[in-house]
Amino acid sequence: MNQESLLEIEHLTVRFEVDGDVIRAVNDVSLSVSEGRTLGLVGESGAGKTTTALAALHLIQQPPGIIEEQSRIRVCGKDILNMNQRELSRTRGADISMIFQDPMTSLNPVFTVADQIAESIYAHVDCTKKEAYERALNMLEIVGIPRDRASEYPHQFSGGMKQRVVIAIALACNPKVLIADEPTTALDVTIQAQVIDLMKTLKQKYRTGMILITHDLGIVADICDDVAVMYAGRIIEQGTLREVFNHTLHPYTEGLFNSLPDIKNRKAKLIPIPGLMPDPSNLPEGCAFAPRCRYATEECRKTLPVLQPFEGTHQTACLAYSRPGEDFVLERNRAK
Amino acid sequence: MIRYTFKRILLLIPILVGVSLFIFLAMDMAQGDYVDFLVNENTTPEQEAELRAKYGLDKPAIIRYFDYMGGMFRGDLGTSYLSGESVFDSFMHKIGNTTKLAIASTIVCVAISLPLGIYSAKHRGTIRDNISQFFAVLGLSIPNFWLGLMLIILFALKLGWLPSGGDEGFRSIILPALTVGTGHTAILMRTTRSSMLDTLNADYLRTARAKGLLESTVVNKHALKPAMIPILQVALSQFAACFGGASLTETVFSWPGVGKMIVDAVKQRDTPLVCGSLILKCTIISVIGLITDLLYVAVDPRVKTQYASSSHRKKKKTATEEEA
Repeated sequence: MNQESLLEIEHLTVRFEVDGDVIRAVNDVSLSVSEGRTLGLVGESGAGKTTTALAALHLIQQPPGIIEEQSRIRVCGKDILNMNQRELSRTRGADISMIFQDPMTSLNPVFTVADQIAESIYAHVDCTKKEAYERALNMLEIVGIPRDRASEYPHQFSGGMKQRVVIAIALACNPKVLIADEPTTALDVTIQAQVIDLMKTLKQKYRTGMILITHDLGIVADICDDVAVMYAGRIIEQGTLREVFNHTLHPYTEGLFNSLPDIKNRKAKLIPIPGLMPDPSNLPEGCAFAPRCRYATEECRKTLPVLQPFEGTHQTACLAYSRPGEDFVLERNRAK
Repeated sequence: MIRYTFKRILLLIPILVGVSLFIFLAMDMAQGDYVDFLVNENTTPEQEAELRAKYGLDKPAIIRYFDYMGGMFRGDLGTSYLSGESVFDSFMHKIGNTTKLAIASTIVCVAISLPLGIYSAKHRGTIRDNISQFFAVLGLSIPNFWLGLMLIILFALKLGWLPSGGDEGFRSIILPALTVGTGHTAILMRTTRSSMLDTLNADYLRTARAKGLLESTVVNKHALKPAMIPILQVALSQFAACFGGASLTETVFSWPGVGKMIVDAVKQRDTPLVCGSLILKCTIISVIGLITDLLYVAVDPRVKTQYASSSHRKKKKTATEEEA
């Protein structure tokens, strides 16, 4: 494995058992993030992106969650899934931290915002409580919140400001790996740009390895180096930004691009992907995307495709490329 | 905030008027009056009538009520028939003991139910949860007087460790406090459990864990503090209930408190003592209720800003004006 890999996830499989139903949230996902690189994890809601991220911090509630045995997650070389309490608390927040999706509920209502940031610093950095508080004030300034609001409580803040506090908590100890779960969804556009800039700075200044979970392909194009597309708990296409964006291989990824407005041809109609993602408690036998795929054949419904390498680091899980006697090209790539 | 407190205190007046009216009528409807306890077969009807006139019992209840209320608004809660002492003084003699018992029982109750509730919430749905809940409900289901008697038999008679009753310092309070305290554990434990369940599932606990805090800090700080709001309310209302409802326990342990005094007074139809004591008790319970509301502010910052907002804004305004 790559020496510089800060986060390595191998064969991660997570299922939830709720009232006798087995929900297969994440199925055999492998990915890695190295120093200074940003991986964009895209896919629609319920594809298993957040579950993958939570597993990376070993934050999945067990029960109902079950991380299957073959799963391996290494953070800075250390196996996080087999850590004890003390090791976990030393790793979380310092080596790896996470920006949560919903700023409204991610902050504790009964502690001041500065206290919530200082707590993280105090837990990991050898300093007095006062120094930790002072550093928390600096963190607030970095995310654009004036110092004199530090002693206020989360309910006195707007959604965007709360999100920035959540970001400040995650960044407080300069983590080596940062997972940002839709960090800009709750923000208005101007603040979005600030947050994106902040993340770019981190990447350049501290060489932080990042996973950016998002629906927004525009943001992916803006800051990501690599892209992984998830569908129904599996990675169905993975590669560098250029590979995935310019030489799309998977029909689902093509569908995602087709449902985006085209800036060059504003009159073009958006083409949505028909249907819905399958219920993760009842996944089809073959390719999970087959029922919605316009290229699907009978075989796609029966056989589960695995990730196959293409040029460079590009990989995709689609049976169309292994059909004998056919040189399959996606419609999106045909015009080129 | 001061206005709110003042309003709450004014609201106390109609409550006290209602309580006293109810007690007067109830005491009047009870069979016999104080004079019936004084007379014997040698008393002539004339003497009996004289006694009635002496205590004002010849007048109808409603007239006596207005007489009594007239006195009350002048700050006079009446005089006990039996002891001839003023009601206020008799009450003040005993309230110290009742307060001691209330505090001790609340400590017992909190010391049992808080850890049990947290433990139960952490292990929800498991056998450990069920066992904890079983013990809490057991405390509620056992009648106070029976538990009191059993404790006396075990600790006072069989083992001889603790006194069976009376007020002989700290050791005497242990058994009554256990009796009252365990009776209240079920409700407080279940409140703790359910409000901890809410906060244990909250998103902000995930944030706290992701920061790298130890699980004990996560539970005892980040989950417990927001859960304290309903817990505090229930604990204080139970503290208030200790003032109102410990009569049985006080009787069983012959604990010289207000509850026992009132029960004795009712038996002897000592109407001024019953009414005056209950009015004072009512006042104490209402004041505890008011303190509960004010304590909310200390625990929940969301309430504080609501109260503080007007004065805070004014301060800020004057500050900016001065700068200008």
